[in-house]
Amino acid sequence: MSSPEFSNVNTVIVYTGNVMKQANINTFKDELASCLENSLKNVNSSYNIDQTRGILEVPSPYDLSYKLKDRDDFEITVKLFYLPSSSNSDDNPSTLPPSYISQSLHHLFCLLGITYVDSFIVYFNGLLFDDQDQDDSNLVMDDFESLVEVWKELESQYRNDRIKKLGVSEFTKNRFERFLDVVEIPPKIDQINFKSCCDLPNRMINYAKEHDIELLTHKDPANILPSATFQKILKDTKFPFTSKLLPRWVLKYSVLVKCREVVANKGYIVMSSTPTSDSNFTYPIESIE
Amino acid sequence: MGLITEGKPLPWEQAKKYADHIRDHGINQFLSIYNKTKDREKDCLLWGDEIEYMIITYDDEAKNVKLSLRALDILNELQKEEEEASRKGEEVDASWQPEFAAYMIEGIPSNPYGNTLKSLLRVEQNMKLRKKIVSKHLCPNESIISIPNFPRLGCPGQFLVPRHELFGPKLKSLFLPDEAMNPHIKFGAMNDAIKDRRGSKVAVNIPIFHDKKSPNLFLECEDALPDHIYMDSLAFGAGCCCLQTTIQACNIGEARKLYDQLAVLSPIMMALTAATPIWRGYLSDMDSRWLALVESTDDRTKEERGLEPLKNDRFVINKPRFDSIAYYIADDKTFKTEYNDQNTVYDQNIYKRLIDNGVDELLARHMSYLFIRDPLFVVEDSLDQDDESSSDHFENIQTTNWQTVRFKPPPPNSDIGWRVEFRCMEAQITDFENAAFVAFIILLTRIIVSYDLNFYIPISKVDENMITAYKRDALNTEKFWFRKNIFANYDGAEDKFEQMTINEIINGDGKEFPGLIVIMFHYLESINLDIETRYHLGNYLEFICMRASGKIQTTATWIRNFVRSHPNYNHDSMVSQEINYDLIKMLEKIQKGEVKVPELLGEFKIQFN
Repeated sequence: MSSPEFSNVNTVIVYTGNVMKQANINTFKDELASCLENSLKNVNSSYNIDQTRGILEVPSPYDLSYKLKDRDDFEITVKLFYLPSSSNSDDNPSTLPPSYISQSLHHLFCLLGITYVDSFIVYFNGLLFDDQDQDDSNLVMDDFESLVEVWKELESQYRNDRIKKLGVSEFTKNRFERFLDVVEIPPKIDQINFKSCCDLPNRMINYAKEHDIELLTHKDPANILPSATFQKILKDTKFPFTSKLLPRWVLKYSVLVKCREVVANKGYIVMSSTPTSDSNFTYPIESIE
Repeated sequence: MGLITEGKPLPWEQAKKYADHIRDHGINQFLSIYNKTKDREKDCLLWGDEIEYMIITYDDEAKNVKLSLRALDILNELQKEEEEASRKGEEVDASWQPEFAAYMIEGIPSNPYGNTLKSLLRVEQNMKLRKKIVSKHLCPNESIISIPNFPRLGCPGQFLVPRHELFGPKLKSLFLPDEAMNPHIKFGAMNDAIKDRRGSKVAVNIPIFHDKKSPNLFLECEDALPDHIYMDSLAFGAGCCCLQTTIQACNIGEARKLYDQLAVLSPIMMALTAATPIWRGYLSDMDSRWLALVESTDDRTKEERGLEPLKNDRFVINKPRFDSIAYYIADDKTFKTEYNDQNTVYDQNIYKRLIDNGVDELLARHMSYLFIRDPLFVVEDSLDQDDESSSDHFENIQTTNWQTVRFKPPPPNSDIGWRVEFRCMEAQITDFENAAFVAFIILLTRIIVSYDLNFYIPISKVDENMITAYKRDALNTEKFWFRKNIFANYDGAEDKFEQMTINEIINGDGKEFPGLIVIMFHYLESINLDIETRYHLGNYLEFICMRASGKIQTTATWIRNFVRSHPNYNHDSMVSQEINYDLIKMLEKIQKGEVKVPELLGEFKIQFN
């Protein structure tokens, strides 16, 4: 399959499909890695190429013609992970391209046949919640500006009615306060890592109550897809691509049946690209009529 | 226990003449409901719980604890309070019902919980509130507890206050006074019907636990088996306290699926909640109440039990009214007809009528099995009903089939959907535990639906599991038939059943089988869960995880150990008045969080306020 078709490809997007239908003891250990493998093993039977943008899409065999019906019955939450390898700029390795927002939304909208999501949570690589933090000394000024740029893009999607609620992940009280000073539309969700050994983070709980923020939990690892892991999966599944691929973002999505607490669909979309490619392509997403 | 109807019931000899009438109309009523509601969709997740409690009173001087008939008065006061509050338009948190035993009251939340998982935190709150509400009506030496049975019910000496004569005209029990039974007319009628229909008193025989110096129990009568604790009344079974939970499904298909899958889990849950090691003051060789309930409610005649050739009765029935389910009913792609391998008898005429009226085979067989039973409670004035708006005749038969799970159609003309009731769990001492088990069942239904889980094993194996489940320390010493490939979508259709320990079923086998709790934690990570709910649910699941692994004891084991290490215990399996007094006092302290018992509850905090 090392055909001329692939010579223009510099971006590979992989879909895991519905992980709920692929559950077994391995997926419970590392859901993303196991399900990526399932999709990549199948790449010879189906793939799509967007020649203009140079994007190769690897769909999941578990997603064949899945389109969501009765959109109002469901609550769709997504979480976008900015990875350590997110930035393709050597000068500024901590740049967080805001274009990832529209990219991830576009691909999810196409996948599920939807026009908006209920909640969009963004995770900036490296952030870790700590209820006792006194200052944010690990967050450099440049990083902070980068966060705000991404947030501006989210605000724009929010104004276009593509996102109903905005959220962040691993934000401490201090981070929040700093953030609220500079953004227009405040996050309504803060999703923090749940450690069963520890007591409830009461400081943050009180702050969240005062500011009407939903304090949700997750158990995602700090780095959900290290480059080495991704490359190993490509190698193990004999993915026919000559250049090296770096994972840029991961979008985790969850489709919940409202008022029944049933997970109808849960999956991941991984966007990867060659080290020198311009990963800043965008999709214009207009306002909903 | 079944239908609450007013009116004077007919004695069995007359009541049985109306059996066909009630069955016929019961089926009409079912068909009416079925045709009107079978297409209901998108009902929300709602659930409720039901706990039965005992009222006890301490005599500290005599070192005795007794069951109290004041439960009847307390129940009256509670119901009046509830009515008053409703009339004033005030919020009512709990509702109260009478139960078979006169020392029992049943409490439920006034409104269902749901429809988010956050509502699971309200379960424990409401349970505590129920105890608080009752406590206001208790005298200083009285208490309310929830354990499956009272260890010295039916013992010589005084176990009930006020004291009454044994062997009364109604129960005719060698061990209990008639006053142990709730005087409400329907309970007496139920008792009479079972005895009269059966043609003899019921006989419950629970094997005794042989300790170093245990007695050879003398045979009180010909129905008593050697080496068994013999009991001769419905009151011994019906006087047990249970923990039940009812869940609303989104439609009839989901309800049928949950019915089947939860039925398979029943023996597992019973072994996990085991809390009934003592009967009539003797340590038994069983840890759960189940067999006592099966035997004490068995209204089958000798012919029906296969002991005599069929002459007057229609069929030989291999399952009593109180038992695990006879048939799977889900019209699901994972179901295979060979799983229904017990071939329990069913009423062919009713079956045909249901099929002719549009009901599918599986559901028709289920209903026509339930409807082989005679109604136990017949009120002459209520015989004529409008089958389009009443469901009394249907409920008459439906609610006197006491199975591990119950498939509940919507009541006529209501907004309530198709539901499944999970009925086999034993009441635990603390509300933390009761709430944990309710949460576990709700989460179980969520993972069954979200992951499309398949627990099917042949019904005969579920029955085998049930018998295994009530054995002494079944949780840690026995293995249960379980399906290995439970992921319907991933693992294919081939059947793989194996005998697994409860630890493996709940916590995983470290190899291929992930364990139900692991799946639940994974599910919790896939939904939008706030941190407080996650924290408390995590506690509940950790607790069950520890029970399943044997790190902490079941209530039954704990009670056994308490008795056997009591300074006055003589290694003869006997639980004296004094041991019982100390035991109940201790249970109450545990319930209130006044004493730490890490061997039973680990480090989980029990708060009673």
